[in-house]
Amino acid sequence: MPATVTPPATVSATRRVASWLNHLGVSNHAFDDTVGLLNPLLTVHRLHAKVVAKQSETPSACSVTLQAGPAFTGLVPGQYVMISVVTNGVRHRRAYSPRSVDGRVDQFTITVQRQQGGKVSNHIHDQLKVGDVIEIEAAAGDFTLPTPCPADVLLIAGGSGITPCMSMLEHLRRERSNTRVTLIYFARSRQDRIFAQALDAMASQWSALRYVPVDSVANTAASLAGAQDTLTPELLNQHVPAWQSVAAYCCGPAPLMDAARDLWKAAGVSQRLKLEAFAPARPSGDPNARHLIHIVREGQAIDFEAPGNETLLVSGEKAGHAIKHGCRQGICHECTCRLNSGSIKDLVTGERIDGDGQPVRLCVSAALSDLQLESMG
Amino acid sequence: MSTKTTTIGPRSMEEMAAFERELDAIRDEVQVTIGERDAAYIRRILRIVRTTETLGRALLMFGWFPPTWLLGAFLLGISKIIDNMELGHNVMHGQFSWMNDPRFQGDSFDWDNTCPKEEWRHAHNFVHHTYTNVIGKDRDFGYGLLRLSNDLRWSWLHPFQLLLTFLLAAFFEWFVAIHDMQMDKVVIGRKKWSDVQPQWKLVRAKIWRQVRKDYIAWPLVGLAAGAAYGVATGGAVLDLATDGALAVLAGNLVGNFIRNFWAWAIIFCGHFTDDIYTFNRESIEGETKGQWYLRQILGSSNIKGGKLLHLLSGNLSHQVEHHLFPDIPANRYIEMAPKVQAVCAKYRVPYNTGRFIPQLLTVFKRIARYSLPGGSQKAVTIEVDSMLPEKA
Repeated sequence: MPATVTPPATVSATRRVASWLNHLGVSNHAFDDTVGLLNPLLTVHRLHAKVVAKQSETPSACSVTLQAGPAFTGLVPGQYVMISVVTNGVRHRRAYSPRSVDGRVDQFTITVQRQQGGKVSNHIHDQLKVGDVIEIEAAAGDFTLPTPCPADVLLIAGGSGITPCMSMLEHLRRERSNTRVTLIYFARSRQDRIFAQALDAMASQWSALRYVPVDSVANTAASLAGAQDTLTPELLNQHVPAWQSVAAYCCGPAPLMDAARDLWKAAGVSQRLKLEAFAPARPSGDPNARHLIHIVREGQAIDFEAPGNETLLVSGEKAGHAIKHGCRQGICHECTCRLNSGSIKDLVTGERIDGDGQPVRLCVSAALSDLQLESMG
Repeated sequence: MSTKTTTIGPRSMEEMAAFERELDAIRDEVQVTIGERDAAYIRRILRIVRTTETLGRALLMFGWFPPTWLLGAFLLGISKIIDNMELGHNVMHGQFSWMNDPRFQGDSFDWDNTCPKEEWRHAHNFVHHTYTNVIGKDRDFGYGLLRLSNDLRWSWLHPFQLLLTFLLAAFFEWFVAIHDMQMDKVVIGRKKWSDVQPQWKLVRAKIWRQVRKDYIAWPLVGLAAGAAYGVATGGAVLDLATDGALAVLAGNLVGNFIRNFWAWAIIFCGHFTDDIYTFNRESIEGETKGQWYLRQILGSSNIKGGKLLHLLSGNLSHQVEHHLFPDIPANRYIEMAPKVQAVCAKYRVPYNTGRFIPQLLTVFKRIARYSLPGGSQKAVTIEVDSMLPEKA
């Protein structure tokens, strides 16, 4: 794997200097901000990247190529990178699956599907331009091919879930790997199919790739008209008779991933399937639903169930947990936790917050979905 | 205790509810417009803190030369003031946490002060802001040291409290650092030293960090600068190096004193002026939001002044608005103040405000008066019916 590299000596030296300056009261943020005045790509704690190219892929998807600085240590195909953009003063973080540009460590491309009402995707589509600098984080995630790469791999993608799969395909192609790959790729239509031309070209030149495009609206909003094909054993048997014994990867909308999870579980081979999701959890909107709440505090986790019509603090206490809190009315922020995933309703503003690391107050928040929280106090 | 009845504020439960709604409306109106303007403001404040600190520390590198040393110490003091007040105090309230920017998050921000951020968030954001001026609950009322109203028992210590106040002002950050450990209770045996140990560990670590920075690391840089100057000019290297280190040490000490006196003055003007009321524990049971609002207004006082005063006071010159809406970005208090004042006038609630020096003088008057037994009654019970069914 062209995996991640160790950072160059200049970066380690810069980090060392920053840690010395800590003794003089210069915080890592102050250090980064000062270095950033010279060149934002040279920061060593919060990393940045510059937009070097932007192109449209489909009417609703665009690709953005980013040049990272020396502190970015590259990515393993299939991993994601957190991208932050600032809109109206608020920093929003989202995960995107990047593809390395020609195998380079410091350049990668993300492809962004425009989401209705999405703050980040719309900002990237409408505002972000070549030359802009945005914040990135080190690549992470384990939706990656094993080393050495097995002889057969099955990739199942739906919609913009093609992006990590494309990263893997480009890598295998570049490495002239002997792996035989099958890609089953669901999209609403040819027009909405991200990388349609690139995949056609790849399939015609690369004999080890079996490319199965499926036009289907089954996994999208129900009102759309069109073919309703889904992931079925028949489809799998037809294209990959040995699907139960190969390394399989699935990334796409929730219904597609649920179908894959069920099929592999029924076949008793769940361990051969890797799933990747990064769409926000959908609020159930059901007042009777009980959501699973997971809070990590100083390495210790607590789990409890919370209905949507009660504050998280109260639910946790009813479940017998002692949860750090103060005023219980949203004033003092003692109970603040980071919302890493899931959606809550802020009972003060009535606003829905989809978790991407924002601080939320347990005493004035109600769960709309299962939640992953991290206490910071 | 006297039982004189004063009538303050809303006269009935309906009026109290209307009072609450009007204050809520002031909050809601601002809440929906929070955005880039406020983010840009706090980023600018951070730049000012860093620039003044850099300039101040750089000037102190020129040794005892009076123009640079005086300006350096002054700028460092200003930097620490803005860092602690307009930046630190407000960010640690969570006023800018919505930005989701790690530099401005209430839970991870740390300030240039010996008080650990965790201790501050508990003692200030929770205890002080929830139980404002409730005797026996709000430990900021007199800091367990001073007698500032007649519902506190007088003791032999209190005649000396003007002197004590001077010490408190000079070493304010140190008192604030150990404030939440409640050492007064440890001294009289109501709390065990072992119970305070976990807090003391935090405080000790933070104190060590501050001491290492201001009184060891930076003086060593001054030492190096002095030595380098000596080598370059062929002067007495040892003398110049010693002078360099001492000048930085003294400059940092003065910078910290400047911040301590100023922070003390602003904070005392916020809660201990003459027209401030206190409350007893029973009076806040089952308190409604409106009653809570009323208590915040009766327990806080503003300082009139220009933009510079608002900046240097961390907008605690809008103490009333801050206590009503502690997590609204502080740069908005200035536009909320006239609206709050209008609501107060409508419901006959006294809105305590005045210029800095007169307000400070009433603080001294208060400290002096209550250093002797007795003193006028400032304790009030908010006497409208409670929302609790058992009290209705």
